[in-house]
Amino acid sequence: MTGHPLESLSALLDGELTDAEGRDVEAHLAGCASCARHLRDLTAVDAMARGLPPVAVPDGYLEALPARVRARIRAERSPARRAPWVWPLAAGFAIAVLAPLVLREGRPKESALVESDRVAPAPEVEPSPVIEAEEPAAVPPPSELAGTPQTQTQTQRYATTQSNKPVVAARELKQEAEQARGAGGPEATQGKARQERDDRSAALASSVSEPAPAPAAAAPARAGASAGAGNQAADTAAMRDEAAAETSTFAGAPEVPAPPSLMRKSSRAAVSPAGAEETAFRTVAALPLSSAEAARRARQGWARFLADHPGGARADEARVRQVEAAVAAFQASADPADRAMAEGDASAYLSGRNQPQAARIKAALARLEDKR
Amino acid sequence: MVQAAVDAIEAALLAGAQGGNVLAFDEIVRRYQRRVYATALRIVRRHDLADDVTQEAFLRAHRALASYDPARPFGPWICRIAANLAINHVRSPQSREDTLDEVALAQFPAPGSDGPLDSVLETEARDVLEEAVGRLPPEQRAVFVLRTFEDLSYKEIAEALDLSVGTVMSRLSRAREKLRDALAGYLGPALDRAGGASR
Repeated sequence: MTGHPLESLSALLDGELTDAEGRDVEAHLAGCASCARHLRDLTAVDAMARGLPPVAVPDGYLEALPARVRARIRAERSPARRAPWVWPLAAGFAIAVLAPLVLREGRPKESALVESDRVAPAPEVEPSPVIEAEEPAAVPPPSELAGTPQTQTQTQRYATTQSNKPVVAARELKQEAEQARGAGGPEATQGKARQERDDRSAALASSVSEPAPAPAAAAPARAGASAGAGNQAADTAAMRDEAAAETSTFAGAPEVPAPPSLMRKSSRAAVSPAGAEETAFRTVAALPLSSAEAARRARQGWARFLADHPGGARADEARVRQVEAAVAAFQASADPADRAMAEGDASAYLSGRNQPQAARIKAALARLEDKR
Repeated sequence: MVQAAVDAIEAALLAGAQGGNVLAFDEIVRRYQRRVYATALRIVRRHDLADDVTQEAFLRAHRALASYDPARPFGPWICRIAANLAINHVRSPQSREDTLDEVALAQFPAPGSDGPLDSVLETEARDVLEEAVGRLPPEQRAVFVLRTFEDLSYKEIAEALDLSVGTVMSRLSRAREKLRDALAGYLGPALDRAGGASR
């Protein structure tokens, strides 16, 4: 053996040398004080590294993670992602059923989907809980836990337990964002009509793609399971337009669902509404918090994200990051306005029931006190 | 006996998750989330990135459940997924910029006195080591983390990161050289302590 076999010393430490290699290295060590000392150093470094304390985990993070992972799994199970052919099929179905009605009424300039509202009117109520239902509850519906189809009673009961406060907050955020983008007036009305139209077409699409356990239970089941596949099925309709709108809302956002570093093998053709949400999430998440101004921009980014994806799988995390961005702005600026913004965002989050990341929000609020 | 019971529970959970049981996979996440997060954080060095990697690792594991053999240990598998995602992330141009910022902020504290290794010195050495691990090139850091904290073999690391075993060996060696250099002022007392412990 010539020279000092440094790589072999490291491998010897790990027991990764063959018997023959090990004998060679040990023979070298017997006659080389430098390598012997080097091996002792490496052994000490290894022992110190293995003795490092466990990494610190933010308060509340581990408590919330399972629910967040679950929400994303459900988002992946949405019909658009599971079966890319569903939308063309739904569109064909809608055209086949609705076009004759449109032609018969002699209103060819209106879209078939708008016309469908008249043919099969949905109740003129506040936005449906299918769309407004909030981020996944920490505990899924009992029927899902048991792996059995949901019953109407269960899902209705589940729906009534959802707090309206976060829904209102999300709606306000959306209104703020629309105003900020100059989307008021007639355009806003058109946008709302389009949203409602898509909500209904989503229900139609889901009824085509997913056989319901029982017809009477199908609609409420989707309304109640806020974090479930049913909800995702409905959300996908609203998200279809969002996918197209991403380029304006998040200028420069890539078209793939996740950055190449994490989703290298993703296909553009496979972009789903859930993927659009993920793309938007990552775009905002990439914004720096390195200065007060940057943190304020990030907070605004989260507000826009929540306006566009109020019930998405990433909504809860976005709400938390919105608070954290506001806190970062205050920490950088000491501006009372930033503090008020942070406290307002935190209050909006904590006003909801069973918020999964309440501890993380409280930890962020504690950082406001540190600044004092 | 206890380990066998734990393994049986885990196998049952994995089988349940494969069958679509949401709660079973929830429990799997609970069991491994700290470990996966720690692996990710030690490589990417930022909570938000580690959070992304952790979630993505569990999602990928869930997608691959159909082909997963419950008889295999889940921990090393999910940590390999996380490490692979983490190293892909730190290789990205954006991450490199972040790392540069981090490095600019991180200055090694000077070694303390030559006195005995008291608790202050030990704490200081740990801080130096943590900093030094953070300053390793990402590729070396990932290999070091998987070897030191996950106890993966060279072959397992090579598979996880899509490298040759020889590359794993050389990267690990270079990483240790750098850590050794960073800890030069502390190794004497540490060796004394290690020697005392072995006697």
